[in-house]
Amino acid sequence: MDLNRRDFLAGSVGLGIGSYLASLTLPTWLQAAAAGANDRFLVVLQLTGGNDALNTIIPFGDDLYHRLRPTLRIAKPLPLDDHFGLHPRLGKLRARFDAGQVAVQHGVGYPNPNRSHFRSLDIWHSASVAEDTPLTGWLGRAADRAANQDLVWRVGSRDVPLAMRGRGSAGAAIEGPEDLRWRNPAGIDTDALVATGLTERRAGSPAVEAVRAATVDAMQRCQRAAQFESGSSAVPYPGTGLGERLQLAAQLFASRVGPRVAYVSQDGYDTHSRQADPHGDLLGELDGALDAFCAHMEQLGLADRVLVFVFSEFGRRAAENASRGTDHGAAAPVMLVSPAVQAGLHGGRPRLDQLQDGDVALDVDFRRVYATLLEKWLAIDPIPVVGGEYKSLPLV
Amino acid sequence: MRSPVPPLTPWQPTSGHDWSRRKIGHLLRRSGFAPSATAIQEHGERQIHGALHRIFEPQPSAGDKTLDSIEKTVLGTKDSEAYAAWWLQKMLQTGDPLRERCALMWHGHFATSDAKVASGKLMARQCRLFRQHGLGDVRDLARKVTRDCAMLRFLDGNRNRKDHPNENFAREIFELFLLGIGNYTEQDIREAARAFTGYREENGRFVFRKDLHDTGPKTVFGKTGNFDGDDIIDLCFAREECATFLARRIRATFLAAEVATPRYGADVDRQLGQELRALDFNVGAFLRRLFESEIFFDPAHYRTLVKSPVEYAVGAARALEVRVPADQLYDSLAKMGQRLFAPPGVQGWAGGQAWLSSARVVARNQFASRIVEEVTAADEDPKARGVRLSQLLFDDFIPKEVRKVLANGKHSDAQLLHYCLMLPEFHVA
Repeated sequence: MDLNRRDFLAGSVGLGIGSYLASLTLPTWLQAAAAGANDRFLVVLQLTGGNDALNTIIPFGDDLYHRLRPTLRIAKPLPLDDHFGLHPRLGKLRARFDAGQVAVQHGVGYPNPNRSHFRSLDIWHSASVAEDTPLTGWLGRAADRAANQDLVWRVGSRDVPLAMRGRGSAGAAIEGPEDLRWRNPAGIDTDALVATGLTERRAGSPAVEAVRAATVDAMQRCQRAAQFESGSSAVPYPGTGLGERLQLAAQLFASRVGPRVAYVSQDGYDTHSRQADPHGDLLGELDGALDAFCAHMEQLGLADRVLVFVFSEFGRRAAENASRGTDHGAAAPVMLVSPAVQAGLHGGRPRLDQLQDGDVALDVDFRRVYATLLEKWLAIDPIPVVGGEYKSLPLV
Repeated sequence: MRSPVPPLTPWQPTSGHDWSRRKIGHLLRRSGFAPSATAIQEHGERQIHGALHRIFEPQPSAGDKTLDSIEKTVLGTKDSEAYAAWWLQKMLQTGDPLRERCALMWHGHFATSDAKVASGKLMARQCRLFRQHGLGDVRDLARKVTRDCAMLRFLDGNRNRKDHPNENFAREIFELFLLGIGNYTEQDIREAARAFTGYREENGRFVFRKDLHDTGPKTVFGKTGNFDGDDIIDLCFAREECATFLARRIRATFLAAEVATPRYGADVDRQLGQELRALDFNVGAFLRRLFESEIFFDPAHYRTLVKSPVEYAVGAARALEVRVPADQLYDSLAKMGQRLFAPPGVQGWAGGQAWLSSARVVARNQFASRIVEEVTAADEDPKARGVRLSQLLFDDFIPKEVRKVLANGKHSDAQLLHYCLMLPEFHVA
């Protein structure tokens, strides 16, 4: 139904802007974006700094682990099987593992590991190991490929990572819920703005018409976001930074306000000295936030359509250093969390008896994980995005 | 069918009244930013030729003088946000807005990001290059860009050595700067990369290192010689595709996203390119021809360009004569999707409807809602104020119902202004 202004005025007495907006006929491209009822969503969660994977998914069944980590070893992790266990601060994640919602892929990295944070992040972001880092990232190219400016949003920060940069677009960045509020301090009569300023299609002027449609759409999205902001209290999130960022991502997915992919990070994993307590605290923050997010998705009936991919730019050295910390390493496990994953531990155990230059050796090229997520989860052809044919993994 | 009209046929007024409010607004929005009431009055005085004279032989404003006097200090700042703020201040106050609009166009065309360059000084120097030479001979500008330190850092000039050529820069020159995809081969790129070997940035200066330069013969576009970088630029400009490609950029910035009428033939960009070449690639001369042409004032091209965030926000401040702190403006623009000196990729900002993603429109509204708080309430009858805003911001060219809302006298000043700044007509030029 196409609503013109007269219909609006005739039928609008007492109508709030919300119901009015909901009844607006949207242009097809917006309908397609708003519909997407079967869309899948992805959180890319970057543990920045290089997470100590050996103290996260712990090979406690390997004597070498205990010898390499005389002071940092976790003697009694939360067992996943008779060989591996999770850090004790990851209790909620363990429960989800038991419920078949966690897939771990061991030994993920890239050839010729580089121990610089920047270089390593560039490689992960660009999905390229070429000496000259490309200017685009894997998710940016995916957005190009899908012709969807809103495929990926940075959530919880204004810094758009290289991973999100495409040839022409870098998605959007949302720092906090205030970035999705339709400010109206002067109290303009929003109904009047919509009724007169935005209802009338601007025939013959495609540019004005495009702005008009986009403005209506943005107001509508803000309103949906506000509903979900107030409605999301049923699931308590921990009051941590990561908790807030994942809550915002949840809000975006639930309200279908923006992206299909949210890029979130948790900083602080660069633990060179006296790492036991701070590393445990980071994992505790991760555990609480991730669990609340998953519970929220369950409550909204979205759990089967949302997947969280957790990675770090590298693991750390197998042996602890003299400062009771760990130094920059190489390959490490990545984690996928969702009821939709092929749960369990995938890939070979880290060979602590065959370290390469002090590090766990590479088993699976990281681009195979990207190819899996793109192909199996987002339904985007991975070959042009990842830059070659990388066999997908049985994770999803 | 009638034969096409050459696009740059001079526009001929049929009477003195033809130099209308709408045409003045159109010219000023395109050649600069949304004009203030004073600017409209001044440019309306002596027909189109008087207006063009003001645009192309501009008088510096008081703000220009102050800002120019501190530019050197700002140029030395480590942080690129400082020069960006200075530049925005310049856009807000300058008497020569066309210069800044051209610089902004070249910043998006020869897109370079501080995210990789990591030097405020080098970004500022590149911007200065665009500001100083953006209206001149674009061949000269292109040669200067090949020696620009920010560009050399951005496209890996220092990795391009005789023994290990790096194609990054050569590829973008062909694909994004001068020719466009499909007008060269991979072999052309490999050979052209060799011509640029030895072009380096060392300690913030351009150096040509002969020992790293490949002096062997190269074959580009079927021509063979011991080419250097300048030769490659010349070889590009010798081709018709180059003029067409640059004319397309200028057309998309100043005329229309797409030519909206068949009146000027099917190959307007090629024709415009021929004009550009006939004018010795002088951008200023070309724009002057464009701004007095039939195609420019063709009603089909009125309000066909979605304003970039810079055009939108700077225009709002200039039109309403509001002071906006440049650092706040910088942040607002970043939220609207246009962080200066940090275009999203080598292709620059996608522009057009890509500016209209939801988060960006929300950011435009946040800007609008804040700027109206800065306006000194007009000492004017609300009805008269509404009528005046309709003229000032919209050339009175908005749906009748909207004009009625503006003139009904029921709204506070802030309400009126916020309403106006969120009307779709204000977001297009």
